[in-house]
Amino acid sequence: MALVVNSRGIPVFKYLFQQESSSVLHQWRSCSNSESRSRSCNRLRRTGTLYVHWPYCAQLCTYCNFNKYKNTHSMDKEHMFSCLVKEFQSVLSRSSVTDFTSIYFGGGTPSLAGPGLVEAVLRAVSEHSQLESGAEVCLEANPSSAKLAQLRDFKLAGVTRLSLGIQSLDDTDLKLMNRDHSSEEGTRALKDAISIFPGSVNTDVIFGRPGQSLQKWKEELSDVNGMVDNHVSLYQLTVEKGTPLAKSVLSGEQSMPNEDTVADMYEHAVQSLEEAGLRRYEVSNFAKEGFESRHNMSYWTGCDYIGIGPGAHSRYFEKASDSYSHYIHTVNALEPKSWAARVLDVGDGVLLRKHLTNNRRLEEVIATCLRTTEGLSNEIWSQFSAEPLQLKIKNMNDDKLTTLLQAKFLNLDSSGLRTTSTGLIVLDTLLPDIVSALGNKRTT
Amino acid sequence: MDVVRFFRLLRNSVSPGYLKSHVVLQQLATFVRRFHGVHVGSLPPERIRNFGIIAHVDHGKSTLADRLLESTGVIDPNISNQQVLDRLPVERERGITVKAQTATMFYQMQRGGMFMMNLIDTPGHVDFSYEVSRSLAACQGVLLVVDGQQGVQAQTVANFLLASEAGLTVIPVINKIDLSHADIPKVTEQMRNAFGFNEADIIQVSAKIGTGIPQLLPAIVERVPSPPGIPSASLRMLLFDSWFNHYKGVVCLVAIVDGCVSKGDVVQSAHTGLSYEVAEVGILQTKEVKSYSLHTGQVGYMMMGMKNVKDAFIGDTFHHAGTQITPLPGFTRAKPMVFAGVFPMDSNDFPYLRTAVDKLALNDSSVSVYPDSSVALGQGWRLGFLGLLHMDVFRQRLEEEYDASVIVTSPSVSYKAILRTGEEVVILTPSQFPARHTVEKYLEPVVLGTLVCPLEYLGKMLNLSESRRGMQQEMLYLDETRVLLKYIMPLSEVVLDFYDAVKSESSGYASFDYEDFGFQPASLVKVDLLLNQNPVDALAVVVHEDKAFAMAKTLCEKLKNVIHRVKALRKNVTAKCYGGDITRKMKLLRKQKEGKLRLKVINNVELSKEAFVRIIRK
Repeated sequence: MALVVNSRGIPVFKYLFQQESSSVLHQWRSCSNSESRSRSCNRLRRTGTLYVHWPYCAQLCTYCNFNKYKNTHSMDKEHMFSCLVKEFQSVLSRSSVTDFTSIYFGGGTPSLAGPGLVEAVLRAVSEHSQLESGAEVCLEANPSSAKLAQLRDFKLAGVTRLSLGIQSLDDTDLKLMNRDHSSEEGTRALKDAISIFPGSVNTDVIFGRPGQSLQKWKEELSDVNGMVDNHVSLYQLTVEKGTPLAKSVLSGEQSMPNEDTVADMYEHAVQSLEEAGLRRYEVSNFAKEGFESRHNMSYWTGCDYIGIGPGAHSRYFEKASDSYSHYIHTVNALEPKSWAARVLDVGDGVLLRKHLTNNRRLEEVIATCLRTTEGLSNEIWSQFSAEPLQLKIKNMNDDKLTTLLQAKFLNLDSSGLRTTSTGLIVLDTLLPDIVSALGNKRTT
Repeated sequence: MDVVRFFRLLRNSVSPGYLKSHVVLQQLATFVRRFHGVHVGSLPPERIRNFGIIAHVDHGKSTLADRLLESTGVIDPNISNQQVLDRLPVERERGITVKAQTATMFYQMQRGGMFMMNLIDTPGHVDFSYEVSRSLAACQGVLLVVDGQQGVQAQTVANFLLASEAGLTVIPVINKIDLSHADIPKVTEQMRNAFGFNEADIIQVSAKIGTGIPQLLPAIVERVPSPPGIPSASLRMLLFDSWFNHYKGVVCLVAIVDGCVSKGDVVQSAHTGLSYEVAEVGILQTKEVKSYSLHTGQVGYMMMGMKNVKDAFIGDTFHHAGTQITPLPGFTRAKPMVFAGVFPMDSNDFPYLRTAVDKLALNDSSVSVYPDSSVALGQGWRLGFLGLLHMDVFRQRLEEEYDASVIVTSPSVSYKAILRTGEEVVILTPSQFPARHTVEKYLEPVVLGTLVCPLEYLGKMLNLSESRRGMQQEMLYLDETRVLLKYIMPLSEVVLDFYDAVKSESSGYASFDYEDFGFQPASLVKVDLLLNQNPVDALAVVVHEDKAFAMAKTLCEKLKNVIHRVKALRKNVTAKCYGGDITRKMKLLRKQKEGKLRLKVINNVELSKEAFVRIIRK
């Protein structure tokens, strides 16, 4: 670490310091990934993950408020590919990330883009940076666009993991949510996917749907349990403002199950998935030991990530252009056309660029780490504070935190702070207290 | 120069007809004001009339006062005078009079010379019944004003009773006769039934347009007796109002019952025994007008370097230091009936609010102030008020005159307990509630309520009153359409929302008023509310046994709706939280975090201040 004084006489920590501190994270992360351990000693390299957003869908789901647009024939895939590649290059050149541990194609429906998208991005990544060997390359897919032949092509293009959105096995609900597939298609697509990517298929399921009863959910869940691979993402249907679902709920056309029922559904799912050997490793994610999604874990543990494509977010350390470097958060233009225009014009589609203070980062990391069963480890904590986590908690003697620990919502041991299973259910309620206690009191 | 000499001078120089005209009277008034020092000594008690005006809210009392002041030239009729005597913004806004104001008028009878007419304005609400009774004690007669459209109302009755108990001459006046809906014969009948007036005695006026006003002053001179005092006796004066002047200290309004007081006299309070040197005396017009002395029967102000309005007890008798006199009857200390907690909305505002409360309490000796603190609301006060309106007015004055944002808790009353040891304990807050086994009996304050309503609402009013543990005392048909009811009712039932209930059940047609009726035994219990198995002080209430269950149930229901239940917040946990979602999640979190700062944790249950306020406010 070097403390220097900049031209205005304000002391600043040099970029070197950031490099150094980040290598701690690097080392920790590498522990779970033995292949890359050898590289962690290289202080000038920094790992990160890449997210590629494909904003088009064949059909729009009623509940979705993501940045997505209906597929049109006028859309020029090749043009999108080249814009994505261009944006990747320019963001990469600004960011200090040099190595990628995972790439995730999300959307929208990226499987609609075809293997060409994966090829183009992977080519660019390996040309301009390092893609770790054995890196996770995950693709989101809908049953309707995940035909056997296509899946093979995707695998050939470099995809190693598939996330399949079957969402439900109830045809009425699928129709109600305006999904473009039936439960049968979903089941078949899941079988096909497992045959192509054995051990690396995630199944997306939505619960808490309008009109869904606990009993129906239990039956559905046992069917799901019988066909899934090593990973399940389980989401509660949230009514997001401005979606067709929100309109129909507001007008009384559809009614959501009540909170208590939904909570019971969730608790039942946790139990039944764990019985099937799928361990909850994050609030909504379940996997067999060793099959957790590395890409997702990287978000929750506060790693750098670069997002490309319309509406994508990024978080990374900037390359030190002058004396020191910022940790920044960017958000891209949402609308594909204006995003593409910006990319062509200035190299990237960034509309919002914010400097994240150390404290803000800490708050984010606390909030996301505690969603995982791994929790807030000493290693992660040490990136933000010199004082050991255990000592800090002991010294500040915060009333609320003490209560949460006593009530066994949280568990503190020599390796870090974790949310207990009772705590996980109510985490959103606890987080504001935890974040105010552990984050610095004065936020900027 | 003395007013009468000035008058003689005028009479000698101009014709009597000219003299009668308003112009001269105005000139006289202007002269008196400009001269700033009148000698009113040579007006004997026979030439003095002290009278008040009593009326139900909105029946036009203050407007009538304005017309009287205009016709005697105290105020300029050319300027639109709006309720000159109501000085506080809250008074004008609500159309009520909180602080009694007084004005002296000089009235020239057509045949019979000059009269000093002291209009002693009374507070318009029976919340202030003690003040009213003291103001009335300074009068020998009152104008009882009834709205020609609305007729006799509850407060009319209550006021009439106060006046007739005080032995005053009552001059019945029907106001607003210009209104197209005014029903004079019906109101006349009501006044005959309720008060026994003769139709011939009732004066019909329209204060708004001035009809009938010229008949009023002669009627007062003729019907109201002159003050009965003895000029040669030792000084006795009645203090009937006071306020605080920032520069001059406490200003007292006094009625000289016997004798005479002059600047420089040393006077003594019969109640406190404290002596003061009179710094200034004078009469009140729209503002203070100095004079050399005040004589028997006269009413005026007095400043004597009193520092604290709390030393000026309404109803106190003052006399010359060293003389032995019998104090005037009727003195009691202002007794708070209704209590409420007052807390700053933001606890940082406490020092400012303290200044504001102190200043207001300085100007209103009937507010009693006890420090209080609450787990949820921090430091504050428990204030005692004369009644609900008094409380409301106080709150409004805090907010308007001091721009303070306050939480006023639901009003309560003070109970008493007679212990087995014979000791009497006053219970102001639930925390003072003595354990049942130590108590011989509990007492609760009761009031005598007067309800006037149209016949069609009689059933509803009877039900309502019974449900509030009322005991009927009287039912009187004022005319074929209106009924007057009298109930003895626990004050605790009245303070909650009885008034609102009366108004809503009768579509606003019924009126209600009450006066203190002492204490009566009651089975009282304390209801504790437990949060996470621990009682919360701030939520405890003392109620009548019969009401305990219902009260507890309502409170629990309210609590259930406002408590931040952990279970209720499950739903967001399972929302996605990936790359872009983190931003959204953090935004939400930050918002929650800010919200948390405003939450109070009571026994591990979080209660937002707003939620808390919603429970304890009425």
